[in-house]
Amino acid sequence: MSSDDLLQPTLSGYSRPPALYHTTGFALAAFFGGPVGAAVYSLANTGRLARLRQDAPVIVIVMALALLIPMMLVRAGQFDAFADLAGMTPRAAGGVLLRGLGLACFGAIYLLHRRFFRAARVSGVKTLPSWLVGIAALASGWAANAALVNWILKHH
Amino acid sequence: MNDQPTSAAVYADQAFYFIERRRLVDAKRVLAQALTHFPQDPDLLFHSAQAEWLGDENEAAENTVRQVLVVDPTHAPARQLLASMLVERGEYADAELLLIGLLREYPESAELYGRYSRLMLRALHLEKAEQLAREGLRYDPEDNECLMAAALCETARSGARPNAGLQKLLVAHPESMSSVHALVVALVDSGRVAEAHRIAQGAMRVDPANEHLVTLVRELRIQNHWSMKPLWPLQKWGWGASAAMWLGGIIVIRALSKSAPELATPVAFTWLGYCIYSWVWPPLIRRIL
Repeated sequence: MSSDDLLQPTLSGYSRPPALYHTTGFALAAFFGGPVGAAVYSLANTGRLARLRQDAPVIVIVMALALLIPMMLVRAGQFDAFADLAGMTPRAAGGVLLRGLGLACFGAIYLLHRRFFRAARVSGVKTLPSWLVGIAALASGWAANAALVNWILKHH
Repeated sequence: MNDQPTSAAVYADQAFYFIERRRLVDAKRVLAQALTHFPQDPDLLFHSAQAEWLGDENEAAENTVRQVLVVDPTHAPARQLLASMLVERGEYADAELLLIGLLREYPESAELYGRYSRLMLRALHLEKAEQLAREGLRYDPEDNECLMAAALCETARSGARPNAGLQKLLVAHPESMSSVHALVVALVDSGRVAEAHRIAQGAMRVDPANEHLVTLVRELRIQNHWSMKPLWPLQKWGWGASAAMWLGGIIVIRALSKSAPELATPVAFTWLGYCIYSWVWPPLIRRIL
């Protein structure tokens, strides 16, 4: 970027200043809402960073891969073995698996946005209140988890 | 013999002397007196705005700084101060336009590049923040603002890894508050709260009137309190530690319920107690201390 490019305004195009929703909300949405909850919450963050075009495909791929894991376990006939190993009923094992995958999605997406979270922290920027985004992520994640667990129970 | 200053410049120098030492009451007294003689002097008005801004009278400060710009629209320090006020209010786009205007007039001012870089970092545009700090350091390799911006950018990018930007800042300005701030931020970010607390305490002894430092020391005192010690893995490794704690807890409790069921319940309650402690205690101690 040349010196003249550096002096082109960057922030005039934003309707709202870039910011991030609370990380605690993100972790809770991922834990209770599974991969879909993590994806919904992080898409809201990505929207506030005005990076939907760059980051949304990555987030959707991470979520899809996470959702594929339990489906592949079922298709491979390994889901019951997993439930036995965990010492749980298939329904409980499905729930725990989706929570673990939600946390894995949180970790992967956090890595994607880590520099923004750190930049906010070192420059003292306050995070946005995340009630609405958190509730939306939890509701959609809970519905997706319930649908997937039902599918697992039918097909395992 | 009349020992009153006879020119606005002398009053302005006196006021600046007090402002530099955070003696805001004295500064305001001098300025009030000066402005009765020179009500339209831009430097006196600017120092008034500075004193109000430092005294957290933000609205009054903004009115005064806009008054300066009516009298002298080219007054660079007033435009910089207005940019700081806009940043504080979250009006980043307007602050950016002001800083760009200043940079077009003073294209070799490293300090302005540093300020613009800090704004970009606040607006989470890390790449541009880094480029601006680099550009500023081309004009003045020891500029405090640029070194500070570069150090913060590097902390944001590399976390706990060795930070060359911070080392440069500390070598060039070991005495500066910016260095202390950047060092404390980097130490906290890498989970070294006790060291950050000691450094911030030392800085506060040197500048006890600095409210920012007082707040920082208070927060670090809380984080460094003995009752927060059990939470150090969460402080040091952040969300990675939380995720590991949850998954590890579930796996260990499950394994225990199969292999040693008599241990599973006490371990589960201890683990749950720790989780609740990590949620409840940090906000509670902030209210207590």
